[in-house]
Amino acid sequence: MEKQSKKSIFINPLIKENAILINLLGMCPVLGVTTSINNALGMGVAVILVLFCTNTFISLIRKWVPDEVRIPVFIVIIACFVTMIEYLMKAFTPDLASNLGLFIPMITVNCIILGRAEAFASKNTVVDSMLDGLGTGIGFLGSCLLLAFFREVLGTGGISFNNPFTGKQLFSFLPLEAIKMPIFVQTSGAFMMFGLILGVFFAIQLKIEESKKLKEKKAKENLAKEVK
Amino acid sequence: MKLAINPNPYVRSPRSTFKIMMELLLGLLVVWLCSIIYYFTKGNAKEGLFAIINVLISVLSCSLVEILFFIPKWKQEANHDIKSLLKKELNSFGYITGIILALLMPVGVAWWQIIICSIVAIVVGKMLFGGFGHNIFNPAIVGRIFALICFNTSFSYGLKDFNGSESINAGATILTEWAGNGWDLHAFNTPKWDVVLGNYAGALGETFSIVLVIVGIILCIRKVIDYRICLSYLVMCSLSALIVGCRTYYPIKFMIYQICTGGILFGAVFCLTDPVTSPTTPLGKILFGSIAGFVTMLIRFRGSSAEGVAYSILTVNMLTPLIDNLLAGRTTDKFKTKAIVIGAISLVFLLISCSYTIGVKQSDPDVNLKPVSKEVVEYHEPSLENLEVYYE
Repeated sequence: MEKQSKKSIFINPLIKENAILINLLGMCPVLGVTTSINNALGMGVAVILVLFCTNTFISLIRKWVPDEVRIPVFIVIIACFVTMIEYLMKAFTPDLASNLGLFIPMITVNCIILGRAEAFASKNTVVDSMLDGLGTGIGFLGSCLLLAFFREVLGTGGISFNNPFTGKQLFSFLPLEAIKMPIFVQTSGAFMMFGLILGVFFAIQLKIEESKKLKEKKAKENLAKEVK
Repeated sequence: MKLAINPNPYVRSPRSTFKIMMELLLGLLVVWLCSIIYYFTKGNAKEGLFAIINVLISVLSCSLVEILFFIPKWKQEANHDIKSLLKKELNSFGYITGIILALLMPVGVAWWQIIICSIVAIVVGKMLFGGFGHNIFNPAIVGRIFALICFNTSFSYGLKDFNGSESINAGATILTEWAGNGWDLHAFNTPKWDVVLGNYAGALGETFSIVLVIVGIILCIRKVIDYRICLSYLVMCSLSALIVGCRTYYPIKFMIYQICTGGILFGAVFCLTDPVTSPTTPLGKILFGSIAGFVTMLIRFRGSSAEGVAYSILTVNMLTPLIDNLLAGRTTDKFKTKAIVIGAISLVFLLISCSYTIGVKQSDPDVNLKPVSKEVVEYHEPSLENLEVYYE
């Protein structure tokens, strides 16, 4: 395996190897929870915490875990941290916890977390795994927020945000409430919106690659001219 | 003898897809004309105007969205002039989707709702799958269901006139009212000739039963649409309705009302028969139609919404590849076995449809004139005094 630099370990999973938009991992919470920006933010922060803790812990004990039982061990560790996060959320952000409901314990079986533990943390040093966990988690949070933004704007006609700790509404801005389309808050709209976002994302990526190739071609031609 | 070797298809017909679609368009225009006449004569002037404007908005927005999709490829062509762009649009038939979509909506729909629904119908239902001939779902039905989920609460089936007078059609469709009364025939107040001719509130094009039947028969004879799909769909619907109707003492009346109200006839003629989204084999078409009829009546009697045509069409569109896989390419098989299979499946459906009857109110022939009233069951709260009496 090639040795990656610390910077690329952190930056790669943000967009280039984004767990959701590129690898299509852990779709269940993404489709179920992104009905509002509030929920998406809560879910994203919970996943970041869990990923960071599990990646750190698993890379700490990676040399003592026998190869045959590594997956059960990882799952138990992940379940431990998820339970801790769940209790913390129930204590400090009760409204958010009741909104997310079953999706918090379901972080345990989210394949992003086990995937990172299996593919990265069990083979790399502690600092690298920490960075990888943070990067993947922030990538997850970003794509959740993107999906939630479009769903909330189209589904409710604007954006409203609650303080997660007290449950009070901080602001609500609903300019398009007259033409809201509630289908986007429902599950079928989630699938539609996610498909459209994926399509646009891939189209942009293709465009960027094309322009890069064109630039390289031009640079080569210029070099050839200069040599002549 | 010189053999002409060309790529297939070898059997050529002078009728192109374009001509067939034009005949379908003609049928749709007839229905549209009927609705315009109805809303100008029976409704008020505003409703008549909106019956025209709604269809025009929908056709324009559908065509424009399609043209937007064509522009990137069209720009790469060697000679790109406006004519070739318009020709592409003419051969993609977005405007037919537009007319069907507008005829499936009530008059009282707002202009921006039509535009949003036509964008969804064309983009999500058609162009993202690859355009005309590649779509899995009927695009007009996709748009209609989008409207049903998003804007159903704001729909009205009539409009106030310019001077503010109320419309005769304000309120829900007779089908929803009938379903709300537990499919009781006594609660069905519309006269039977009005039901057959289409003199009641409903979507723009779906109420004119006789016109729809005549247009459907002509289109079937001209082989624009396949008679197997229409016929099997209507037979399955009416048989299910007949079984349910046996509980109401007027089974035939019940059946005719069920077929003539709602979108069953319009769906059977214009939506279900779309050649892109229906199976290719004759037996597949029969199976397709009867499953659609079964699902329609299942949603009507057992589901939460009174109108099940749109959902049933989407459901069977989804089954089309499966039916094609099951029946295509086995022409050497004996006809008998296939017929037995399809007959058995239809019989099972009919047997299941017997269970619809549980939800239908039984109306007594003796109390014909009695208005429908809900029984009030009095409930005495247990009080302490009663308890004391009980203990003594």
